[in-house]
Amino acid sequence: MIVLVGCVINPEDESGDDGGDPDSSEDPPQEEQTDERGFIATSYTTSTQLGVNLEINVRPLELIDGEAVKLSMEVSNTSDGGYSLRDALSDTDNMHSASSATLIDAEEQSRHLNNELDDGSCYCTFADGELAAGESTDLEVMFPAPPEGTESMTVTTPITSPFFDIPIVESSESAGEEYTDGEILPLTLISDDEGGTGRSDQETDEELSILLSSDVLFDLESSDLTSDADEIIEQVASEIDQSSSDTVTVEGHTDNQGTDAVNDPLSEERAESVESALAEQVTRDDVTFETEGHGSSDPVADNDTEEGQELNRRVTVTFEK
Amino acid sequence: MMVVTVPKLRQKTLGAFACTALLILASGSASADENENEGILGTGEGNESRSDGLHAEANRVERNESGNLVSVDWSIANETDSDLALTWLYEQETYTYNGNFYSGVTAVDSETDTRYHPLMDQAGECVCAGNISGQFYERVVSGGKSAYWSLFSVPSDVETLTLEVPGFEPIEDIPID
Repeated sequence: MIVLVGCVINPEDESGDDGGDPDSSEDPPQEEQTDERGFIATSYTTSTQLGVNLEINVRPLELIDGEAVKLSMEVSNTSDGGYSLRDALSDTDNMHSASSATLIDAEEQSRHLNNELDDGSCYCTFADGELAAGESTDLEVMFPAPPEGTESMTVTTPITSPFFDIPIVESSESAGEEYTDGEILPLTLISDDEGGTGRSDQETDEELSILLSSDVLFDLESSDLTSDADEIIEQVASEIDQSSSDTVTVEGHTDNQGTDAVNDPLSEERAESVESALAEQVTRDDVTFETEGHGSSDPVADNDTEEGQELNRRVTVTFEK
Repeated sequence: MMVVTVPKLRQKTLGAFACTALLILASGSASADENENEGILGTGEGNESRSDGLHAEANRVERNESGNLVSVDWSIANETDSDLALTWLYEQETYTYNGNFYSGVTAVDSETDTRYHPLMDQAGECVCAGNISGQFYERVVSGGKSAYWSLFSVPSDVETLTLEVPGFEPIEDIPID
């Protein structure tokens, strides 16, 4: 085993403030050791015609100038024939690169897209045409860096399952180009309660939007809350109390059946019903409510199916976490 | 402002490698074994006319270190005599993801009766298999198997999942860890 001195980031210290850290008792870098080719992770398979015969090996991420992170991967064609990468890993403007790779910050729940050069192209390297049988090529992509101190990120490509926990090491190299930062997009987690409350949650790092099914909260065409609604509203009220938010937005929506003349006022009245019920239950004094009816103008699902229509009939309660 | 131009099409590296300081193992290759790619954690038969003769498999489940992300590698096997295209998997009955993704593939925690949809980014894109890649292979040849993936965020105390692929029986009791 060879140990080289140089730029490894701080040896792993268990100072993470996110809970749920598994009780692994192994030595710090055990999970993060690269193999003899410098790779730390390998694709399981790919969603291409080559399947497992297209292999992607990922190296540790490198922090450049404290501002950007470089992803470096090797793409190998282990099939018996030639393979042209083209837009396997990229958009059509940046063919033969890995411009469609992204980095996920699991702590911040966000997704980093690639940095761009001044002409709008990906700050990436490009492969030279076709990969012959058995041939490999290295691809690199630059991304905006995560918050200082972030130890690892997840790498995604369109054709492989994600590579979790790729460590970030400091690099002494500098960016050679002028570039603009890629976008950092919040990720939304969507979950549905299948236990009969008709509640779905859409959650980002900062905000929770609770979708409550109108079919559960109200009788047909009514804006009076049913008795089933009590427990559901109570639960939402307690979550509002526990949040740091001072504003709660309540919005009513309908599906696209019927007319705006009916749907618009109905959605507004339903939002107001939910708002009154919440206001009664929420114990914090400093919470203000805003209500709005959107009618059928803002569907969250396909109105061409029954399932979609049902989901569109909803009242949403949104607040900062 | 001076703009530095480089022949980017032939750029091979983004700067010289100055840092190679990592523990390097002499053995223990990280590359995927053939064995690893044959894992089957559960199957679900096709239960509609368009999926007749197909079955879905859950092949691998991974969870990240902080426990909040779970990825599933799954595949569709074709036991019929014809090559087929899995175009119906792009259908999105609920939650309008933006683009052609297999976003209808969901994970259910049967202990809490909670259904998890794949992650969505702010552009509405699904963090899951889909044809944003020009080489995305939506076909399954006769006698073949095609591989796909989905990413979920699931509480760290969830131990098993049911994978639901539209058109197939649910694949139940898939262990996460």
